[in-house]
Amino acid sequence: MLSNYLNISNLCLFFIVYYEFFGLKEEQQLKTWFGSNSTPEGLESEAQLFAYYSNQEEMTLSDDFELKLNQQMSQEDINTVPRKTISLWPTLISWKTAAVISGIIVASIVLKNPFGSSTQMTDTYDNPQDAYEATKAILLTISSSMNKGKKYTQQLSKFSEAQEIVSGIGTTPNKEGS
Amino acid sequence: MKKIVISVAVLLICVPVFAQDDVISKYFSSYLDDENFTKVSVTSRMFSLFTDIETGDEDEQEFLEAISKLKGLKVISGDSIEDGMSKYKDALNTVNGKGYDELMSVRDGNQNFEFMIKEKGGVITELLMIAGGKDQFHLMTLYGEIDLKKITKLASKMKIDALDHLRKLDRDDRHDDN
Repeated sequence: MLSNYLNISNLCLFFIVYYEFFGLKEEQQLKTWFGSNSTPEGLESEAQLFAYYSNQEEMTLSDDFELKLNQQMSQEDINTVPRKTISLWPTLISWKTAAVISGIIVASIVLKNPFGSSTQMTDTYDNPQDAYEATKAILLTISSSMNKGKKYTQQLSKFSEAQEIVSGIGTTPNKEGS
Repeated sequence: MKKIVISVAVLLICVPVFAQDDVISKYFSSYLDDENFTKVSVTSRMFSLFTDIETGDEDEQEFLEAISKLKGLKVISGDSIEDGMSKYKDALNTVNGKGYDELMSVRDGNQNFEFMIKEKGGVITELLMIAGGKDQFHLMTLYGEIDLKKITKLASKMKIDALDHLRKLDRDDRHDDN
């Protein structure tokens, strides 16, 4: 009993200086002792600590732990992260559309003005008064020319009216004579 | 692919529309460097400056009113040219079926006049006059909002030949060149 007590006292003494002076050998002895004997009164917390350390030693990593861990992580990534497929087609289609629209605009400009800037007629006159006189001459020309047509139309109209009157006279029955 | 097909369809629809607008410009460009023809172009910018011209004359006021809604005009005129009749027929063929409605055809001596209009929403937006004879060819276009009544009224009081105005214009033009 006394020896046990002494053993315990010694162990406690060892335990007190455990962190400062213990080596691996002493530590192993303590672990073995706490594991094989019932825990002495007052050393329950220490016993739990050594029991924990003993268990930690038993929990060794297998050789393929890292491989399994990586596989698991990859699997979780696949399952949890939504898959996003990046396709270049939308970009290509938008570029095609832009190219076609640009083509239409360019073609429109070219078709509208196929001879380039040479067809762009600018003002013949710089002075508004000269431009006004020219405009007047041109409009009078158009007006006079249209009046010629109008004159012929009026003549035709008069001829047509006269023809109707004459034919009307010829076809009108003489009521008095009948 | 669908977008491309739609775009091409839009382009095909646009081409005739632009082509119509281009008929006159194309015709003008072909005579641009021919010194036998007088070329006159008055743009909308110049027309807007006409409002600054001060005049107390009633006829002038009437004329200004007639041109108040015009946006521009272009003229090609030649009265000493070869094969004017051929040019006249060629011009008629060029504008035929390009969106112009025939307004009036006049034959006066050895001169032929053809008047055509473009109408949009009940408003005449373009008046085209093609005149041709043995040694003459004239092509005139007016753009904008055209009031035919006002234009025909301009020269109704005058008893001079329609093309005398243009001959005056031609003389002034050559005088300026010298």
